[in-house]
Amino acid sequence: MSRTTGTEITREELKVFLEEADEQIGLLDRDIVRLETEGDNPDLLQEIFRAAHTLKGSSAMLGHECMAELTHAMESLLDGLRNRQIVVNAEVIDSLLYSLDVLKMLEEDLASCKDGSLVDISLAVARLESATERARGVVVPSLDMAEADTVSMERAGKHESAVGNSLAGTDDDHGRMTISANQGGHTSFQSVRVDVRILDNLMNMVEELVIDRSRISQINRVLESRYAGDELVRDLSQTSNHIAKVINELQQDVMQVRMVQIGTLFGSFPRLVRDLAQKQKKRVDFVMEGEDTELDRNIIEHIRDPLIQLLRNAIDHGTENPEEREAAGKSPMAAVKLSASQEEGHIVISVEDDGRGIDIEAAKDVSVRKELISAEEASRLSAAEAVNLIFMPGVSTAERVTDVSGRGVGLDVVKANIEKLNGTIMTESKSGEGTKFIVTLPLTIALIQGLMVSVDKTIYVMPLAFVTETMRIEPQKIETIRGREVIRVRDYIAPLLRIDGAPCMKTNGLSSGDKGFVVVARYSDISVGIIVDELMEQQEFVVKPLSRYLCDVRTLAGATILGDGQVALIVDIPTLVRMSAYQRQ
Amino acid sequence: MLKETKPLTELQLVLFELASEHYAVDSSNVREVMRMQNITRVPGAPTFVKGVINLRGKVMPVLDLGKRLGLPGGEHGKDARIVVVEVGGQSIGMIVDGVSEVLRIPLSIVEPPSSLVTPDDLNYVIGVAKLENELVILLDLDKLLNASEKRTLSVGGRGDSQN
Repeated sequence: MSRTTGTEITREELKVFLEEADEQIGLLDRDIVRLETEGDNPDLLQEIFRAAHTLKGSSAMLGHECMAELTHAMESLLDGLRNRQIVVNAEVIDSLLYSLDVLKMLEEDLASCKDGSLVDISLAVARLESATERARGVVVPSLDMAEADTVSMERAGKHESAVGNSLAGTDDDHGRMTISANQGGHTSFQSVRVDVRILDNLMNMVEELVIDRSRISQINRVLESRYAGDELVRDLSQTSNHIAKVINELQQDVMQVRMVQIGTLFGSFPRLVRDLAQKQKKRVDFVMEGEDTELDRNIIEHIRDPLIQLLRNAIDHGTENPEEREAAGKSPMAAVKLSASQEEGHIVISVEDDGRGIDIEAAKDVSVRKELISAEEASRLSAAEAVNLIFMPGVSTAERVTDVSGRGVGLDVVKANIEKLNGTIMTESKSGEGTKFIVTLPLTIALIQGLMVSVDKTIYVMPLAFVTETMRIEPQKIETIRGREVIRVRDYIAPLLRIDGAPCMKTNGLSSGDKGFVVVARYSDISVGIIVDELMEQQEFVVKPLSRYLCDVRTLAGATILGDGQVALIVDIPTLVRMSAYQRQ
Repeated sequence: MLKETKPLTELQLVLFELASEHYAVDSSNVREVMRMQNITRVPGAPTFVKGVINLRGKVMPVLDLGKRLGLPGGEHGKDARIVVVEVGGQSIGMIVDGVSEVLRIPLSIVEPPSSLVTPDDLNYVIGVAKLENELVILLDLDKLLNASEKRTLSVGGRGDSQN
């Protein structure tokens, strides 16, 4: 078998291999880190072994000798673990993780069709072998590069010499395993890759069907009342009922196709946390929950970076080093928890640590020093409000700057990115006890819960996520502050706005005031009252992008198509609130 | 089959009326012609944007072409139509007073715009076609809808980040 490059295998074969390799490497990424705490879990060991073994099999089939050799060495080590000949220790884990990194590089080179990878696997193989030997209790002199070279040269010549007899016995087993692993592979990963654009098109067409469906049933009702008892009309209504049912199911399935388990995103996080913690000499017990929570793939794509930033933040700033923790009477092992769950039409993702908490006074000081708020404002903030100062640009309470976070860029970007997805982020923190970031996201950006209102005979949709209450306008309750109308909502004062963002001035004020309503919307602790003529129903709306042609109409977040085929506009409440805040200054 | 073979000598046009004048655009840009329908007004949009409509599940902006060209005009009559054109990968509707015909004309009867129109319009007027009974102003949709609008519309816009 010779080292094969892109010329000798078909593009299709390579694609299949890379997809499988992706899956197995992802699995290793997730599972090897788990070994640190669950080194004696036989199921876990078996799973990791199988992943390495599958990789070995398929890379050998492809003729990729480097990858086959490396995975073979990993497999040998894992086999020892599986058979309890060796026990998990730091060196074992490190060598496995290092090999995984090399494996990723090999895969990357293959994917980018580089002719002949320059990645050297000899050190990885040597580390694996030495970890295996040492864990078995055989004393091996500590490794240097020269030795690594000889080891790999020997291996190239004669396959089993380095690891020796212990492997010979397992060879039969490998043959058997190949078959079972392949079978497993075929049943558990039956999936098709589909271009997202095709999904979007499908979605569009289904939505049209939904609109047509309601038209047909309308027409049907008219026909029924006009030609009651006519058999043909009865047939028609039966058929149209059936079509309606099928369309409903179709709609649900198409929505479902767009959903992805958030676990696919979480996969690389344990490794990330481990590496960060190790670099900073911290001990972190990282737990993930709710990996099976489903989320629209559009959101999954955009939530990755914000979550990484939050995890980095938790490890960099949240958790303390073991000495500090022990001095504070805590366990030296810090706990970081990432969890996802679905709650009433929302996805809630939280990142929680049991570290030192946010220093609220420091956050206030920095904010005042950077002139983001005045000293007087700072003194008036409640603890819960002050915690959220960390989302202001330039505010970081970190004592030192690390290479990943601490420069004060980050949380404001995280917040902006989450808001782009119609989500929100909140912080809870107790000094000395820890910090929790709570991200709330819509299930899908394609659907929102909204309140329909009408203004000037035009229908608008207000995303319910931001609506706190609605009330009838009572003219005597409207007051003015420097010519601008405001309304008192319980204990706070909300400026009144129109839907186009224009503030309400006394001069052109509420001539139609007596019959209007106010929708009170709240965003980042600022409430505004939006004047509307009429409140209509609440329901789910499909969000359509406004044409790029209208992209500067900033007070609109998009549009939606109503049951009668008309277009209604979706109000961008964060922008409306922000504009109102600027006008106030 | 003719369009590709004689691109340099002939133009295929969609003719329409606006404020009692005749205009035309290249037919390859025109997707369809629709009857007038309810248009959802968009607050904060430029004045020549009439609003948005539902075009088979997509939300499409509709322009008042007369206003865009600075022509006098008011209500749209019963002959008014929405001409759906595709420019720069997106569909845009243009309201016109009426669509008359699809016509193939030889390039030779098209006169450059220089002496007939004001310099401001030079930008999006390709020329004037001298038909037997009428003069037809040929519009360059790319320049009319894309280049100039994008400049004014993209200031402070949110760009494509939502896509």
